[in-house]
Amino acid sequence: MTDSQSEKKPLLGAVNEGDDGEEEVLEGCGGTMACNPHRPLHRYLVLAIMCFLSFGSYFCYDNPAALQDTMIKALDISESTFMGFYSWYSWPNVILCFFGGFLIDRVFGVRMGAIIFSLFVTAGQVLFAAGALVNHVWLMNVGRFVFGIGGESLCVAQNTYAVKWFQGKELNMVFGLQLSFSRVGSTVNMNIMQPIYQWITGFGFKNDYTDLGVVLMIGAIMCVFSLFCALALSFFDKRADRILKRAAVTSDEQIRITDVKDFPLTFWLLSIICVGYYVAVFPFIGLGLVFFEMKWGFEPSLANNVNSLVYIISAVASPVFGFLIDRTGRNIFWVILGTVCTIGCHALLAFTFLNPYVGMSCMGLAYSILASALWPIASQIVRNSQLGTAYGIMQAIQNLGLAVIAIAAGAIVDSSGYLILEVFFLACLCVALIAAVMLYLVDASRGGKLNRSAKERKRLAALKEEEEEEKKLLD
Amino acid sequence: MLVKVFTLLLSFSYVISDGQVRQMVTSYNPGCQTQKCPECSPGVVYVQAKGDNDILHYVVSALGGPPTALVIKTNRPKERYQLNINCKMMASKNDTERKAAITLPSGLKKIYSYGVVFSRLFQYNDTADKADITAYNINSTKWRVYDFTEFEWQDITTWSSNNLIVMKVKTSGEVMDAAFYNESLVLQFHMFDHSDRSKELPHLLYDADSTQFDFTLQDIDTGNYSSARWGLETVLLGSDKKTTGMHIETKKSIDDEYTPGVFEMSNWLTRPGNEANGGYLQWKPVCYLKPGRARSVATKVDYTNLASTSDVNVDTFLQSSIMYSYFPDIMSVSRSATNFTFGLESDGGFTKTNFTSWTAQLGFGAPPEDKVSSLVVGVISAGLGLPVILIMFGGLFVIIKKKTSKEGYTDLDTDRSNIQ
Repeated sequence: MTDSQSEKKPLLGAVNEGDDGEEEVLEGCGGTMACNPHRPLHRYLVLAIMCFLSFGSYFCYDNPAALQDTMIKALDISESTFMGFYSWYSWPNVILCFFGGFLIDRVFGVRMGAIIFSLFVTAGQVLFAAGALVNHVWLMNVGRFVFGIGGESLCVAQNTYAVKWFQGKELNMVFGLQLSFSRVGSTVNMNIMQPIYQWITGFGFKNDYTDLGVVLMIGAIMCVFSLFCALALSFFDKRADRILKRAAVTSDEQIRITDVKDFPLTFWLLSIICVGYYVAVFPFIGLGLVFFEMKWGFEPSLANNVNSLVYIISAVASPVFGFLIDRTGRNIFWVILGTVCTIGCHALLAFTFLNPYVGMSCMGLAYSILASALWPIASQIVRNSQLGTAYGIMQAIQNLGLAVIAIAAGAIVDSSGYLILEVFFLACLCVALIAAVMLYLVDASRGGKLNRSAKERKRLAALKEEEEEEKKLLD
Repeated sequence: MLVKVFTLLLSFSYVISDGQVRQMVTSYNPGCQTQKCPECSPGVVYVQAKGDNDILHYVVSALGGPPTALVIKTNRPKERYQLNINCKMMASKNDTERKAAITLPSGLKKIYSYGVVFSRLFQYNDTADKADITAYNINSTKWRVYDFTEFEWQDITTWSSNNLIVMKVKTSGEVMDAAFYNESLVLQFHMFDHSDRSKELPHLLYDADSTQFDFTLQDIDTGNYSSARWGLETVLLGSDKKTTGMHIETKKSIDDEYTPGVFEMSNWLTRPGNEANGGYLQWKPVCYLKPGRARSVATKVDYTNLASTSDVNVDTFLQSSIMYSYFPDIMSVSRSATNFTFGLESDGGFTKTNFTSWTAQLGFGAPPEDKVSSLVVGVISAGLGLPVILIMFGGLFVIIKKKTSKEGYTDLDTDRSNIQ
């Protein structure tokens, strides 16, 4: 066996249930379906916890948006100071989540990493709330900064967990489900923060900012909840490692930051798709409201409904598409399909007066397809021991793209209007499409590993298993 | 960086100018011996725009109160192509003199004439914040009507230059508690001798047959009105029989590259169906709430349905304006009126910034239309073409590769060691 194979062995151990003779005898609950790591049911229960791992961070991320008017009034701040709460979150993460991913691989491991980043998230939100309680905006900025360090890296940890538990199984669906949970988190936040604020004002605190601080503290409860999820996951993961004999990444394998340069071309193509696609969706949604008002003459509330369609649809559709992708395989084709559909949607919005409900609904579906198909591909390109770093890089590049393009998009609208903005987004999508086609070609020339159908994957997994058995017999 | 490249590319697409070029001659207070002429106060500007085959004669003045621009299109004779204009007669109290103040010399033949008159300003207190002027009863206390015949204007020669005619208010008269003074209402006409696109938002495309005007209201005491908004009563005239119906045509466009966020353009045609030989008033439904025009300070411009001038009692204002000196029989020419209204629901109204500025265009012939710039076409065809080419060649490559390898799965099996 080569070195690279032995590295992968522990994880493959999880795939091939019971390939070892000496099994630990599970007693009590441990022997039932729900608690036995050999059983799918146990995996699904862990999945539930996994989904809630970053629920708190998604919930609190959009706290400012949900309380925008209230916040501006209570703290007596300007619009740009308010936007600062988002900049303090996003800009540091252009770099930091790369290191977050690296630290998961090299130092903490995914279990410790998830706990540490959850702690950051919780501490950040508490600081943010404390800043509001005492009416110090700088403290709130510090809070958002700390929160950001945790939040983005926590996503990386969540992705790594997902691959660890579901590789070769329902990985696409799991990614879809995680995406849908992130949407649920921010939607719940958008809908309940204002009522909670109203409820708190009923207690008659002296200052508006005190009310605000209390509301944000309540938001912090969600972070604590996610922290508990991180602890629980850590427990179950350790237990599964022991029972399934998945050894932790061996210490003799050195993971260096310079390994990044040895990441294959396909990974970088994947990163290009990721950034080219995401920048054409999220900054667009940020500017969509006024676009729908101006081009179609929609009332603000109606425009807002149209604008949030992508989020709502992706929350429902992404697990479904994830399931479909699991069944069919051929991830690259799905990525190409998602990109082409999004190009079509943007073209509809840019060049026709067709009701934007159509374009935005399709975009929601296309986004679900892409998000469920894209992220799992990375796990097939990069060794599992470097997966944290890989997801960290993808996330960092995506954050950089989003931050830069959000500013550029605003400038383009101001100087050249929405048509040119749409053309710009179409150009970004075309770059993503070219990268996707390149990815397919490069992969096809190397044997088509990434774009295998589910059937072939199964066949090869079985082949591999046989081979291992043979080897064991020979030994 | 990207933005810079983008705007750079865009600036290239701005440099499109074709069409005819006119030779412009501007004169002040024709008929008076001196350029400053107290008898003609607040003054008259006469601009001749000589083309290859025709001449456009512009007469712009606020004499009599309502600011007015009259355009007469004539043939181009070898000599004597000046109109006979006497500003003293225009300012005369004597009706017979006034009627004969603008005439065509023999040899000069009128092809068409048209013009615009601003008759009144309406201020209303938009307590409902719907920016809908028709929602309030004119007899309620929510109105202040500023009648331009009561206005005094500063001398037009003070601020005007060869291709910019500027009219500024002096006072709005004691009757209306002097809410207007000095610069609180400025109306300026840009005269063009060629085709291009305006440098200022909304970047309207102009040609040698058009003139653009900026209407600006600023620093006006709106008294006890919590949310004041304005309506500008405007009349368009054409030298047709009064039975000729005018029409406002609003076109939607996907292209807002010249006026970010605005997807509409309106043309008020004096000869609908025969635009090429008629006059038009063209505007985009956007005005600006701060002097530095930008999308962030833009708000909407709306208009009320066209009305007959006699129904809305503006014929007397037309008779006070300089139009009467050219159209003595003003009751029989085609004319209609509308109110342009400024603002949009919850934009804070005029009161918020105490500033509103709007630009529109008066011209002859088919109104200019925006065309999607070559930048858009270029980026789209390159952006979509490249992946298509790539897919075609790449697909071909893959098919050939699959055909040449004898066993379908050989590649995959040898690759087995990398399966994860």
